[in-house]
Amino acid sequence: MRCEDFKIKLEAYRDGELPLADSQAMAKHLAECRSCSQQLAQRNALGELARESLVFTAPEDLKEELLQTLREQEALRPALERSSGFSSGQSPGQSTELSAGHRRHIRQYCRRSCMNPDSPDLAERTGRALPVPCRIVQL
Amino acid sequence: MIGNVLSREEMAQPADGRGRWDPALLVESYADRVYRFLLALTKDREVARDLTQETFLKLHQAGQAGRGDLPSATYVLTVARNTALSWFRRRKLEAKHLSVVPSDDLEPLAVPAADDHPDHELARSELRVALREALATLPEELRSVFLLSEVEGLSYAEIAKVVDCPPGTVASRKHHAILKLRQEMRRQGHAM
Repeated sequence: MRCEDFKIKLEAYRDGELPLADSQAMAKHLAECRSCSQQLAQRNALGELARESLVFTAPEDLKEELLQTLREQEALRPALERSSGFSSGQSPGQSTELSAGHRRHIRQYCRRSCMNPDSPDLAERTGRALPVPCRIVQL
Repeated sequence: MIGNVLSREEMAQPADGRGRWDPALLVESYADRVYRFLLALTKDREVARDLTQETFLKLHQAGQAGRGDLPSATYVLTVARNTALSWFRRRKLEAKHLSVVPSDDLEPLAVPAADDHPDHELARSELRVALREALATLPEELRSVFLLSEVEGLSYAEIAKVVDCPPGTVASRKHHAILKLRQEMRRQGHAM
């Protein structure tokens, strides 16, 4: 194997994406070529730096907000399923206590979706044509 | 689990019996990955928070369609990426280059080096900032592939599904992403 070929396949080799024969050829070349060994070592150092720099946890308050939002969404679901649309008999403000994060998100969601209730993007997102949350929940 | 990256086995969690993805399990399994991916793409904490919320709402709605077990990482990160791309389009931003300067106050999962000499840690901190700045200069298609491979541990076949391109293109983009990252870091004075 030439060094040029080694460099081209280095990423795939590190990621375990090469066929076995190619991977073995790479390993054999590494055993014989100091320059390419150094190349691999430098690449591994970059990988380690990437993990230090980019692997981190989400803020705890965000996780709590997510969980609360999803649970509130689940709690709303029976009411949404029972509603037959938005008849005049429907109370405009059957209010329920929502977290700040959930209210903010629903406002953003409805600003986008209420402007075009028939948008295919909305239908894909919600599985229904009507922006249900903003009609039922008093924000 | 390595660095909060779930193995395939860990992703195969039972549903709650009602055909919905359990919210606590969904958040526990994917909040970190989705948030850090979106933050690396958008480089804005508030936007990353909002887009994470949006992603999880979409996932939760999809889960209520009765799909059973927890979604795969491929599916989750596809939804996250598409959410980010929609944001880029809405803001009419050039998704390729972002000018927000990354900070170094993110809480890392990695254990600090045994040699915790202050000078060493300072130099290391500067390297981390340099890498994030270099990453921000990459076009979105290269940045996404790099993150999904190097940080989230997805295979090229899985990444191909997320970014909607052939696995061969994933390999090519990763190769170019590394070249550009190293070039940019050398330009900043860091040999990597």
